[in-house]
Parts: sequence; C-alpha cells; structure tokens
Amino acid sequence: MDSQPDIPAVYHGRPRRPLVRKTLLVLLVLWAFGAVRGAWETPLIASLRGADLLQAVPARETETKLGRNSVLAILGGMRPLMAVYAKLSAVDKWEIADWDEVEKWYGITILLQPEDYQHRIDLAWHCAYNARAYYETSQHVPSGVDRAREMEVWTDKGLAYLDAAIPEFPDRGELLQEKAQILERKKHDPCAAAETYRLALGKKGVLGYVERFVGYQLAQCPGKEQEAYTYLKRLYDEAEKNHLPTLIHEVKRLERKLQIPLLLRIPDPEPDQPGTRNTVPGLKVP
Amino acid sequence: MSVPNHAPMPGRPVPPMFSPGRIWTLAAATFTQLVRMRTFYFLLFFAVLVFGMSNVNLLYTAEQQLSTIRGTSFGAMWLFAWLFAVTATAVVIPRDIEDRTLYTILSKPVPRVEYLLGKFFGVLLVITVALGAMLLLSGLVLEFRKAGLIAETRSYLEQSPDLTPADIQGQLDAISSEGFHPRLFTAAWIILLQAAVMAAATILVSTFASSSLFTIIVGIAFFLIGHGHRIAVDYWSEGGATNNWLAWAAKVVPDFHIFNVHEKIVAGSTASPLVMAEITAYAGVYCVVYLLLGWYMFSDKEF
Repeated sequence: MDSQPDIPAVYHGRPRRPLVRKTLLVLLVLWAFGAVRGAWETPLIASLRGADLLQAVPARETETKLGRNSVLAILGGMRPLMAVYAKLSAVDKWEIADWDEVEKWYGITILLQPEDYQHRIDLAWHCAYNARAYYETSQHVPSGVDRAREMEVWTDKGLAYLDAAIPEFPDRGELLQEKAQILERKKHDPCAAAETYRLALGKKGVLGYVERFVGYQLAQCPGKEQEAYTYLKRLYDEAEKNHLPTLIHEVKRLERKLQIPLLLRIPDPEPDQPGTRNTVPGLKVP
Repeated sequence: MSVPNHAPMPGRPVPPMFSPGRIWTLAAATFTQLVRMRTFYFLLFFAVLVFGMSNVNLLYTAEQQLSTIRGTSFGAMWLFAWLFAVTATAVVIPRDIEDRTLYTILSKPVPRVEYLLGKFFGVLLVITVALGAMLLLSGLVLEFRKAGLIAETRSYLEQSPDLTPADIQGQLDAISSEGFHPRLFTAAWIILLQAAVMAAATILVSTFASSSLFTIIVGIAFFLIGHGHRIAVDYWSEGGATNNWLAWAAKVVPDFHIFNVHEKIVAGSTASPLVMAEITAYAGVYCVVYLLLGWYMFSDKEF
C-alpha cells in the first residue's frame, strides 16, 4: 500500500496568507479606493444636485424633528411609504380635531415629500379652513379658549405655510391661488387677494377663471373701482364666455358707482342671483 | 495524489482560462436555486401593496393618487432590491457548502472568480426579473387608475360652465403626466445598479464571514452606513466641527446617497443619458472593486 503523500506547505504554489492579514489588506484597499473616489464622487454629487436629481442633505432642523435614525430612512426609497403613513396619521388626527397633531403629521409628510406642493396646500387648507371652523363653531372648544384669537392664529398659520412654500415652487400657481382664496374668504382682504390672484395668472395649474377673480376682488377693493371696471369690462368685451352672472353684476355695480354714461353701459339685465358663482361639487375651487 | 484545480488531464483539451459560458451556467443555476427558495413570493406582497395603494384616498387629488401609487411601488421595489441583494448573496455560498455543490464545482476546472461571478450574476438575474415584473405590474395599475381618474375628472369638470375646454384639457393633461412614463425605466435601472453594488459588497463580506447571519448583518449595516454617512459627516462638520474621524472612516463605505437619484426620477425629473452613464460607471467601478477583493479573499479559501 502506498504511503500518503505529504501535504504540501504551499497551496497551488502560493504560501497561505492568514485571514486577518488578508482582511486588513482588503480594508486598506477599500480605504484607499474611498480616498481616490472622492475626486469623482464630489463633482458627481454636485452635478446631480445642480440638475435637481439629488436632494440636498437635510439641515439640523430635520434631525431634531425625526431623529438621526429616521433621517437615514428619509433618504431611502421608503420615503413615499413613510409619507403615506404620516398622512394617514394626519387624517386620523383631523377626525378628532387635534389640530396640533394634524400640523405635526403634515409637517412630517412635507418633510418626507418636499417635492409635492399639494401637501403644503392641504396643510394650509386644514389650518385656515378646518381648524378655523372648529374654533368658530365647535361645542368642544374649552370655555377658557379665546375663539376669535384661535381663528386668526390658525388662519395666519395657513397663510404662513403657503408663504413659505411659494418661493420653493415659483412656477406653481395653485399655491398662490390657495393663498388668494384664504385672503378673500377668511381674511376678507380683497386688495391683497386681487394682487395674489394676479400673481398666479399664467403659472402652472391655474385655471382660466382666476383671471375673472382678479377683477372680482379688485371690485371689492376700496379705491380700485376704476381699475376693476376697466379690467372687468375688458373681459366682458373680450368674449361671450365671460358674460357670467357675477361678472355682469360687478360690471353693472361699478357702472353705477362710477357713474358711467348710460350709452357706455353693458346691455345685460341684472342677473337673478348676483354674486353666485358656478361651482362643481367636489372641486376645490370657489 | 492531489490534483490542483486547474491542472489539465492528460490527453484532454485545455479548458479556457475564462469562460462566459461557464459563468452563465453558474448564474442560471443560482437563479434556479433562488427561485426554488420561493423568493418571488415577494411579488404577492408587492401586488397587494400596489392594489391597496391604488384604492387609498387620503383627500388626494387625482395627480397625488397616481404619484402615491408610483412612489410606493418604487419604494417597495427599492426595498426588495437591496434587501434581496444582501440576503440572497449572503446565503448562496453557504448553501453551496451545505449542499456540497461547491466541492463539485470547484473540483472541476472552474476558476474561483468565475464561481463568484456566476453567483453575482445569478442574484442580479433574479433581481432583474423581479424588478421587471414589479415595473410591469405598477405600470398596469398606474395606467388603469389613470384612465379611471381621467374619466371621473372629465365628467365633473365638464359640468362647470366656469371652465373652458382648455382649462379642462389642462387638468386632464396634468393627471395624464402622472401616469406611467418611460423615464421610470431609468429609475428601475438605478435601483438595479444599487442592488448590484450591494450584491458585490455582500459577496466580499461572505468570502471571509463565518456565517450567513454575520454576512446579512454586516451587509445591512453597510447599506445603512453607506446611505447615511454623508448626512452624518455633513451634520457633524457643520459649523467647523472637527469630527473628521467619521469622514475618514466613511471612506471604506460607498456613498449610496448617489443612487437616491431614482426618487427624483420617480417624482418627475428626467436624468440625461450622460448622468445615467455616469451613475452606471460609478456602480460598475464599485462592483469591479468589490468582486476583485472578494476574489482575492476567496482565491485560496479552504472548505
């Protein structure tokens, strides 16, 4: 019987390398690669951020709100899922009229999806309409609470959220439109509302009726009657489709107020229901 | 007498040093191996998630509904891709040892680098098929939902005399733009690239790890650190802090932050071919470095 061959001290002609030494060498190579790759990585990140393909690193405020571990998750692809959860929580708190919580959860939703301007509009709407209405009408408001003050506080919060969002989305008109509506309906400031509607004109997502709304608000703004008349009369003369009850009513009211000669007045009769706007159920427009 | 792995048998043709065919065979075997582990069951979870999201309405506008479906679909794809890359890669080599398949393969004239590449491409093949299926499913749901939302929106917008046909068309176009778009293929490609880097890194870890559990834990930690170290470094260095040790240590870990580009693409941005090529090259370099180091560790590993 043949004797067993000796096990060679080398394996395939190479000396055995201890695992620890090899691992350290691998780490060293990885570190060296990391040092070299910076020259490529930094300009790549800068160019991706420049092309708006990569979000800038959140500031300290973000970390304070969510904690560092959450920030890690924020930057991953789980953001939309987390945003759905945050929005669900906000809706849940809305049902029990816990407005501070609604605000908090919407804040987190916005933080997770800063690119979705609609969250800003929703938050402003909750503050300026729902929270305001709660303090105005709810029987559950504690007796010591100053209702009028709370109503103003929440309306101002809604406006503040929109003011913060408008510079971030300069091409979106919906934010300006929402702000104008709050100024019109809750702050009763037609001059500011007219100006804000005017700023929204021509921007993305703004519908044709906003052009008329500028005129309607101007018509309510003290001292702007002549400007409002010129504006609305131009719309009236421009197209038959603009001959709507509110527009006719406002033009006729301004004609009387400005004492426009009879021959220059529009021939339409006073509409049956002046001030009524055609609306679509479910559509969030006045 | 022991025969070295690559010693040709007398009278037989010398096998090629490097063979894509052998790599493909190994990749196909790995694919089969992983499919038998019922990995595609994740697709059921994905389908439930996508269909569920398509019916969730948290006061969403039509555009928001579609963007939520899109966002959650790609969030799930992203989660599946990197997590699967870590876990599947962590188990394939130990499974081969357990089944003794590894000995059969390595006793043949198969260079170890080909074995590693076969495993790597096998895992990638599974991820590619799964991502393709998820992309198809989310695309179908998006288009189906889009059609429904456009019909609903049109019917109620047309009731309003305040709105001109141009206004209505503008609204419908805005909804339409939130549906499936070819740019989403580029987002899926970036998710695949990130998964490839994770798979390569996990292969490197598994070549010296003593257990699958260790590999999975290190792989996940690697991913989380790679995802967050840029924030941490920027955060701690804000205001001129001198915690540069973190920046120093972070050099060992890749910057997965770059792959977050897919989020913006899903949200509506478009990446130029140059950007895509650059990110692909970035991921490719990482894969090559990790696989070479993995080969170095695996080249004379004894089993």
